Amino acid sequence: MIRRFRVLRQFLRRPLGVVSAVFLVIVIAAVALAKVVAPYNPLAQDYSAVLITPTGAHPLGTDQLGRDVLSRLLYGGQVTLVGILEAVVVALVVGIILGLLAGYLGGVLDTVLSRLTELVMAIPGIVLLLMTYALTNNNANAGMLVLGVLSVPTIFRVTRGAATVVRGEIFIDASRVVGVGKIAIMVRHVLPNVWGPIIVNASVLAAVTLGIQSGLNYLSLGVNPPAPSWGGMVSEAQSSLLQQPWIIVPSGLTIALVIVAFLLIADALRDATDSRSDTPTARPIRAAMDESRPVARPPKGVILAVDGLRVAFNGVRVVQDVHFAVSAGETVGIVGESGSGKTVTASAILDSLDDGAEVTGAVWFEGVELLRAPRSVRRATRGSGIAYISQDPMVALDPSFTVASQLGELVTRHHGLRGASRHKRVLELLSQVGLPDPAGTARRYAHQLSGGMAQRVSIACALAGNPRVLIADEPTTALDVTIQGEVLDLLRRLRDETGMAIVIITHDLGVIADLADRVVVMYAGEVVEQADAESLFALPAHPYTRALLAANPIASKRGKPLLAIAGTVPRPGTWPTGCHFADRCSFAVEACSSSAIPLAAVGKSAVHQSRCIRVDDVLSSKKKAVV
Amino acid sequence: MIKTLGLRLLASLVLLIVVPTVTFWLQAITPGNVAQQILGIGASKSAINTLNHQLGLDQPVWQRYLTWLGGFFHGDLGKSYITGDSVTGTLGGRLGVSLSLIIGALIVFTIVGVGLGILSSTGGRVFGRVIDIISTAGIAIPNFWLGVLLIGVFAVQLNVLPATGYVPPDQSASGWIASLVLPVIALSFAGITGVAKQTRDQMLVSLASPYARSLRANGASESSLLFRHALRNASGPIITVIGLIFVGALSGSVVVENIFVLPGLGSQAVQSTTQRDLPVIQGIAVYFTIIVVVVNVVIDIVNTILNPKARAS
Amino acid sequence: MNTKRYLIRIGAVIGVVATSIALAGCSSASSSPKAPTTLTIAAPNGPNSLDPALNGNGTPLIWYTQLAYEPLIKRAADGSAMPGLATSWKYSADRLSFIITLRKGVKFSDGTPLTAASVVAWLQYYKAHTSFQWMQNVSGIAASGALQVTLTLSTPDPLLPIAIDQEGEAGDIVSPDGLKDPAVLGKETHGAGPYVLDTSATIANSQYVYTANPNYWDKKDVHYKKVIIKVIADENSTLAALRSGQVDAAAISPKNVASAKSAGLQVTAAKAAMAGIYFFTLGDSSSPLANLKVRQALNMAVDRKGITKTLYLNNGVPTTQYVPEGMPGYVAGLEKKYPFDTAKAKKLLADAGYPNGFSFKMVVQPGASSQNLLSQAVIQNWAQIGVTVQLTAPTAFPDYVTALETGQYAATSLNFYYSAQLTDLQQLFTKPALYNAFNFDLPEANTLATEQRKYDITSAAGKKAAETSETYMVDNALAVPISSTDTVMASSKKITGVDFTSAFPIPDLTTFKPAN
Repeated sequence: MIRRFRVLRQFLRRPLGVVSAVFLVIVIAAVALAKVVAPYNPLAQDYSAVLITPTGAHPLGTDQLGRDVLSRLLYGGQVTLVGILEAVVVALVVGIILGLLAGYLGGVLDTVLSRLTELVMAIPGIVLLLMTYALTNNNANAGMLVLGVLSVPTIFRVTRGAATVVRGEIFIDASRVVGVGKIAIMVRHVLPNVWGPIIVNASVLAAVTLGIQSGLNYLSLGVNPPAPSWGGMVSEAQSSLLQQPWIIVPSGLTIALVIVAFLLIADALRDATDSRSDTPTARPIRAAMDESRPVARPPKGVILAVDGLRVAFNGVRVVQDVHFAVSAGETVGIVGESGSGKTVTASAILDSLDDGAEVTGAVWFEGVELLRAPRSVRRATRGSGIAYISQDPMVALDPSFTVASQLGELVTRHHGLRGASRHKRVLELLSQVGLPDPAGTARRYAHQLSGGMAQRVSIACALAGNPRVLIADEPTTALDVTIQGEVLDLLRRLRDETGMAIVIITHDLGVIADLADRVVVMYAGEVVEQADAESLFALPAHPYTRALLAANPIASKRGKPLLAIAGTVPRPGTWPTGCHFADRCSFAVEACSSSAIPLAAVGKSAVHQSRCIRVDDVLSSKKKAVV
Repeated sequence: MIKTLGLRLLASLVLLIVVPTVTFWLQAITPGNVAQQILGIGASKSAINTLNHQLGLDQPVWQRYLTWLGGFFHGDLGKSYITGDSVTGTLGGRLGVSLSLIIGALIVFTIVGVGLGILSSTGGRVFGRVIDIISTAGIAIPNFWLGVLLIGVFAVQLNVLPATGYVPPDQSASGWIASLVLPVIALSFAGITGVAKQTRDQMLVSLASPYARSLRANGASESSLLFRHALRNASGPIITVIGLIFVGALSGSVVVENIFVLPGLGSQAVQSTTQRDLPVIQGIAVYFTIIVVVVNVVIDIVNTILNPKARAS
Repeated sequence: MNTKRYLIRIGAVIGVVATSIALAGCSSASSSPKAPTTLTIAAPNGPNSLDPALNGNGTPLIWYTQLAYEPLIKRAADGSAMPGLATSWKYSADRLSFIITLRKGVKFSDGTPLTAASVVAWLQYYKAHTSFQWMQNVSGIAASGALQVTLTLSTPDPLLPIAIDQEGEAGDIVSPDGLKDPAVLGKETHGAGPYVLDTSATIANSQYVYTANPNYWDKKDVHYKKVIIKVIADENSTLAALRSGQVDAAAISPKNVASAKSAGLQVTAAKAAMAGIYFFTLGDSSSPLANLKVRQALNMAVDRKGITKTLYLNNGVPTTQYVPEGMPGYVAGLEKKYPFDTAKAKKLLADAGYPNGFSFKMVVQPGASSQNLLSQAVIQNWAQIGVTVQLTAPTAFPDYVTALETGQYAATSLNFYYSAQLTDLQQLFTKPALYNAFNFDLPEANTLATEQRKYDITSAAGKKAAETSETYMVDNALAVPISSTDTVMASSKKITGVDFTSAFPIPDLTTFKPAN
């Protein structure tokens, strides 16, 4: 019930859909009430006013027998719209029933019905339609019935598809267990959940049916003069085209507008019923920069620095006040749980933020501020300055191209090599990342590689441009535990070999411990602590860090319950004033929540920072930080 | 892959038999004296009986069907009731015309549709909206209305293109193209929308995918991402949609051929239907089905080439 | 490179290339050799059949057989009967025989000679297979000499000279070779006319190509090497084709006359057909249409002037008669018979016993689109006096035939090409008659027909009998003639010979020739 109204509300938010719906309602009403609304009898002739352009008396002009076009359109709509209704209803009724049966019951029935549908889809429907009209002596209803049957496959597929998905859902199993009969399940549970795509397709079907039906009417099939029909009026107008060019407009335009209305309604319904409705956004577009805050150039030796980074979407901040720096050859780990903003930060560095991101702050790379740099500069840093490996290696490679092709493309891009020398370099890179059979791997596609191999290939792609900084986003999360270690070893080796800096993003403290020189801890969009790795593990200076370390399963004591941090991470948009961790923190006091907490140095350390006003207490406390 | 192709061909054969069977029986069960209709109002009883016998219409229905089926497997589709010509002879000459029209439309809506789809996936919001409007107009404007408008503007008013009629390519290559310009536009216009929408959606999916992200971050150029990677990965669904639209264009060709008086299968279909020339109608059903089957097979093959994962299965 | 610009550039290149090809195509199409060796005509539809026994009459059906089949008698534009394959013809004194003398030295297109035997064979075939009534009174066909054929008649029939002219088609002699396997006559021609159908270049219902017949008996009368008839159903496309020079001549609709003239085309017109409504149920006592007053009321309720002006513009004349002015049988006074008077019509209807009107079903003959419009206009007129008509308009002839078989329809639209008054009488109102589907029996009609048959059409007695018949038909409101409509031909100034008059209103393509 509530869901239905949600759809309605969503629909009403889309202006085009609303306008179209209103337009359709007006048309349908006018046509249905033609007897009342039409100014003339559609058959009334006036030889003194033949083929005239619109006047007050005849708002859409007259045809070759002096009949009022507007009146004929209104009456003609009855035949037209009733026909559409017939075809759509037949398609819906048969399609939904068969689709539910096939999608929910599955098995042989599904196979048989699906094959049948394919068969129907492959029949040249127009031949059947022509024959139907010929054999039934131009009976409009018969034609629309056949058209409805020919349209069943679309509805069937949509219903079946949605029903198959719903079939697998837990609440259906639950109903079955409880003993609800199959038909009852289908009607009461499956149907309400599949009607979304169905109504979208029904609207599209109405549009398509109108197009086909008016075409048939144009060929004089399914119409009986002198009764008007929209398609028939186009045909009549055609013969008077030379005498009165205007006459061709009203009939054709009416058909086109009604079709458009159905399509726009379908679009709006699609948006309204699909919660994941965002069509993938266009490629990233830079949002306006905030020029107000002056940014200082980082010192030499710092290869990458993020200064005062703030990113928001639709006014909602997802990260704020992020500072950290990476020196040449250094490995910095960014650690935090999901929702902490670490990926957004990485995206900001990589210039791959989603469309509509509002970014302020600065990202320095080798002395150049990237956020304000021209596109060519940013493009130039990609791969050769800053490179990237992502979490899931299987989808990080283009499934349509071989390893050699993708890697080779990057090699060409960065070094201009082609042909044999390019291939040589490709094999070099592949062996550099520890692949035992570079030539064999080069020939393969992504789906033919194991997870570990794929990740190595990804790393090779990142190395193709000899980058100075490698951003590794959860590089081991998707891999087997045994492979994880290998990949980390590889990264360490590469770092030592090439001297590149690594920014490793992870939620796994073990990875940090293994690889990082320095660590940046993020929580709810902010950097809460920064320190070199040793200090962080030994002397966490922020309650959250303390809690993280304590909650690490490795650190847990056998026999004792696993420690977890009570509460949940505040989502963007629901951040409290003051410390974001306050409501879960055992050190929290009133001052923590009253105003924003700055990131401050811990003691006299230049590198250790913490966003906590009770640092001293934290450092000295032996108390467990968890509740 | 061989297996799927084999299955596909088997299904096609079934289709090739089912479709004409359906059309045969539809006609068979309807009352109406074919010979009477051919000969006209004042025909004598004896003339009607002679013609009925000549056409084999006095045999029981089952027998007629089996005779037809037998001939079908030998490649003989019977003779036209009206002209006495073999069906294959009548339709053979027309096949080329229809193919010129439909394949011309295929080329146009593929190139323009994919082009528009790519443009709207890379352009800004405004551009995307403009493309949306053009696409919607494409599918909303009825093809017969568009055809009439095109004739009115280009042939009658401006007189730059022939209004109707078909010039065979062996007679004049440029005349052939000129006679196809307006019909192809009328037929392809609606298809452009479907292709553009699908292209845009698939391109956007590809461009937002993890591999695109990785490649871009590691330095791949925008044009490579667009034309090499995104397009390649999007091509599967795009080609599938193109196939669907192509089959739809078969239906559209019937109306378009009528408007522009192109002597193809479509205009023959309308004519033969009104003349109750059963053998020709069935022949057209067979030809249309063959076209659909061939297109589907080609799509399967192209998809397999483009999608390495499909090759393995 | 910027992707957008790249794509737009490609698009522009493709556009330019395509446009230039198309423009090259059309410019070459319009300047392609319309040299005086080829005549191109546009027709709105193809033939019913190329077999003269199965085709039909009127423009344009007749063009397809006319080009390849020389008739026994050729009628000139002024209506006079000229020798064709026959050099002379006459009726016997008792008018029960018709003797035809054939031309010497004529060969068919396949090279075989024209003999009396071949004419007899053809006429026998024609009689056995046609559904037209031209030979209905012929009881015997025999060769009475090497080049003479005698037809024996069961009753006098003055229409034979019309039957065997290029419009009647009964005299379109088909060679014995063609008759061996008559099935081929549907797609090949085997005649003795100036042209032969080129089957390889012909596409049924799209274009018909004829090449000069090398065996034609009057070589100097063949004006072109090739004649092409293009089928263009749409009136506007026809006009466009005329204007662009794609086509040299075509029949056009009255509403396109002004455009044709302003495009520099010659326009020729002559009264060619009667458009009106015909009733089937004249003999059915339960049908109101069997009542004289009812029919008179229906005649009075029609606004002939308004309808004619609207549908036929300057190429139609309102009429109550079955033949046009100038043709024997026309009686000027009859035009005053049914003035447009809705009130009077209503009163007549009430007098007849139908004060609240009545309803019936009507079926439109497929073919000319104007018949559809005409029917719609008429039934609107009749609605004003309370007569409701349900109209059915089948799209093709077989459906029309089926419709008639059902016996549901009381009336049909009529587009009757002029030939002679007797043709109207005996195709419409006698028993039997071509259109008399329900077999009504009007004794007076039968008597008048028998009387008319005794005389030559153009003789004084014949004329008088025709006028008597016409008066009978109009006075008894047997049908509702509405307009006398023109055939209108538009032709390029490059050709002449496009002559026809209401005496013989069928343009004869074989007389068209280059203008110089």
